[in-house]
Amino acid sequence: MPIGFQILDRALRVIRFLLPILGLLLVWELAVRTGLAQAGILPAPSTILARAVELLGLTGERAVLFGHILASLRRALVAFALAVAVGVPLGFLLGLSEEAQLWVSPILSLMLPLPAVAWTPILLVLFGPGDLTIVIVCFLGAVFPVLYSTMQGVRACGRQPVWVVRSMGGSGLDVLRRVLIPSSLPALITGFKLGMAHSWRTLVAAEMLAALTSGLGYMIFAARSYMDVSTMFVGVVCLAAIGMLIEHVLFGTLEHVTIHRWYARDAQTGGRQ
Amino acid sequence: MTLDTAEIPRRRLPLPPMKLIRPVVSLGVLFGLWEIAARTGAISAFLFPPPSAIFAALWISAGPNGDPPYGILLDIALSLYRLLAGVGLALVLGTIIGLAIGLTGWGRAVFKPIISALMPIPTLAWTPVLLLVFGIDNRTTITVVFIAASFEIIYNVVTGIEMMTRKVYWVAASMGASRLQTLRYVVLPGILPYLITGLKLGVGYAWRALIAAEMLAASSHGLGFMIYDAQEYMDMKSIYGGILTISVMGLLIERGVIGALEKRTIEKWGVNVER
Amino acid sequence: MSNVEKILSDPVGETATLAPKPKITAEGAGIRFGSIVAVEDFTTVIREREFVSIIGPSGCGKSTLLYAIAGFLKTTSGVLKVDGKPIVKPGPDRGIVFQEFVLFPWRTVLRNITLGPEIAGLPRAEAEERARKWIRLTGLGGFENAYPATLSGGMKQRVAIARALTCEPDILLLDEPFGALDVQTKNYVMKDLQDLWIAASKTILMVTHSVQEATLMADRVLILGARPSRIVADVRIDLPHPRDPLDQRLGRYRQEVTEILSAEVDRAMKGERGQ
Repeated sequence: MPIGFQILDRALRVIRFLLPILGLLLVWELAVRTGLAQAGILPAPSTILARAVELLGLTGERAVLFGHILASLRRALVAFALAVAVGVPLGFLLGLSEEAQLWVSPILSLMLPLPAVAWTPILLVLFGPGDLTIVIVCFLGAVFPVLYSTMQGVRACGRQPVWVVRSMGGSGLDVLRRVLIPSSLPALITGFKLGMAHSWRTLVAAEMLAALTSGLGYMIFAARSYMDVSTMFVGVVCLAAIGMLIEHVLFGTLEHVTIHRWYARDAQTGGRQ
Repeated sequence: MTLDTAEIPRRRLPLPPMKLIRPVVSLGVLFGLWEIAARTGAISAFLFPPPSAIFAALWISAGPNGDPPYGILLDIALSLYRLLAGVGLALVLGTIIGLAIGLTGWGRAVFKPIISALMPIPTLAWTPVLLLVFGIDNRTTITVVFIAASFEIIYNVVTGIEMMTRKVYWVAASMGASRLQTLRYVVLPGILPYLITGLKLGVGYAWRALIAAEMLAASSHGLGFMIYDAQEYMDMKSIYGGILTISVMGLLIERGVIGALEKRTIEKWGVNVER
Repeated sequence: MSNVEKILSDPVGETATLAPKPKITAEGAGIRFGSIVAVEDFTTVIREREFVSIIGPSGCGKSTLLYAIAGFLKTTSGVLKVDGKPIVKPGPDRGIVFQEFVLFPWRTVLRNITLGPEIAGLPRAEAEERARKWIRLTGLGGFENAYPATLSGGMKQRVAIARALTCEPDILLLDEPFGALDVQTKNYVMKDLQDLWIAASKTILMVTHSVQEATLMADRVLILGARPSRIVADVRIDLPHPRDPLDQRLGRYRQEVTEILSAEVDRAMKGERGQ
């Protein structure tokens, strides 16, 4: 296909994707303008956009939005880093030793159905509202996906690849470095992606419950008490957009340079031979 | 070769009694150490009340002397009601939307972009917005549950349809089946295993979202509200008791209810749902 | 006099005095997993540069035996020795090739093959130098920088063989090396393997369930019985290499092995029914 057609084709696809979303926004806008929907509860998209411009400081007001975003990102990232630091080693341990996994799994399965946010009341009593409580809650949200993915990745490796390296006279370190880590890397990246997503998703609720002055969750919850619905919607859109950027741009690229290259053919199946 | 390796068990299979012993021992050790630490004052008995005291408080709360009487049972019932209502709604609407996306061109064109735009929004971010619309009301929490459960259901229904080979439709067509008959006899049973997988994941998300929403929406009763409310009075025993109840209820729903459903369908048919 | 001594003192064929020295010695080797006996009383001597096939009904423990000689599994009775020393762990003196290739998808063809020298601590350039020889001999030239996922089954198996040979092992252990290949590819790789064996002068032990594979390439075919698995026959194939698959004499050997094997399978099935 000539390049010109390719560009046209891609543009058409983007338009076809955006059309229903734009349609929905249009219906929404009209519903508010004609008074079908109460502007006090559901502000028109144009109103929300105007508010976003204000919050970004483009109209000369104080750019409060960036401060909230940065505060939220910092907390989510610290929690994620902690989750990786704890989840990956623990995942390797439980993945390698079936015995350890069997003993620990009752405790894990008791923790799993709990939303991380459920720990907030205890943390509020222990540490009060603030960064520490929020970071711990997000950490609890992120650590399980990281742990489970690591465990699965290590398990899925199987015995034969380990045997190949062993039969070449490789040491335990060789097995770890040349087999276990690379072969569980795709699962690790999936785990990181899920972990970061969970950290980010937990963050909103944690900030609503425990933030004192900043963060997107705080911004949304604070706006609620002033009935400032437009700001609430700006916050919601920011949360979604940043979450998507992290997931697709950051981890998408990471997956692309590793998994998709190694498993050119069987990328979907997870690629064990 | 496959048979040859199959006869080498990785480790010896756990004997049935061992399967029971392990959780009892490992949880027993955890709670036992906690109990001792709290009783001897190694950790603060106020912040970390001994498990025996937590269980005792739970027991009282489940009886007529609780405050309010049968309080914890009331909370459980209300949380379950919200879960059931939201998940039921998600099951019906999610299946319909999933079928529309999987089977019709217009459904795919309209719903797919809208859903991909809505999916990245953290479920709980809806709570304050819903609070404005519905106020402190069951509808707020039920809607959060609905949102949390529906994406997984839609996604799995669509996957289920995509997984069916075209030949299945050809078989139906060669028997002279109408569109409705094809839906009834081919598509719906075909996607059932996927629907159940979606339901399982959806209920898991929904349960967690519900608890968080109950905390945020400060509704009356419900397990999430209960633990958040107890924090205001620094009633640590109730918080721990509530957390324990949430976790056990979640396990029961996932393993008991959905697990039984899976056994009767997916496992019986020998279908392997990749997720 | 023990079995082994008998075998060692008993002249093998007419060239007993010139016979190469024993490479692998098995003295009553047995492997069991819990109550399952996989291999029992396995006694034989495999001499230097001999090509020996182990054949038997599926599930008879032939791969288990190979894994034990490789050092991945331990014998639970008797002894397995290489060069007169008991096998305690895997080592680069015994290269292994699996039916499923077990290539590392994150390494290119070249880097898969240089893995052994890398582990041995050789510098990159020297490792590649060593690999080149085997890449040439296995016909992998031009594919050095391809990732395994892009290769066909036959090519993958060549990489696995080259990888094993680059470690310069004395013994090559082949675990159903042609099991995952289609017939055409299999014939090519089998021919290549014969040439390689003649060129490389290695001791080769190959596990297979195909009479054709076993008789075409091996000097000796050990037939294992169904459970409990021990040697029921040791058939010497006295034909020069390389062999022509259409050779009449080969046909007779094939028939002989097939007869012993099918009698063994019959016996095993009767035993199963009898239970």
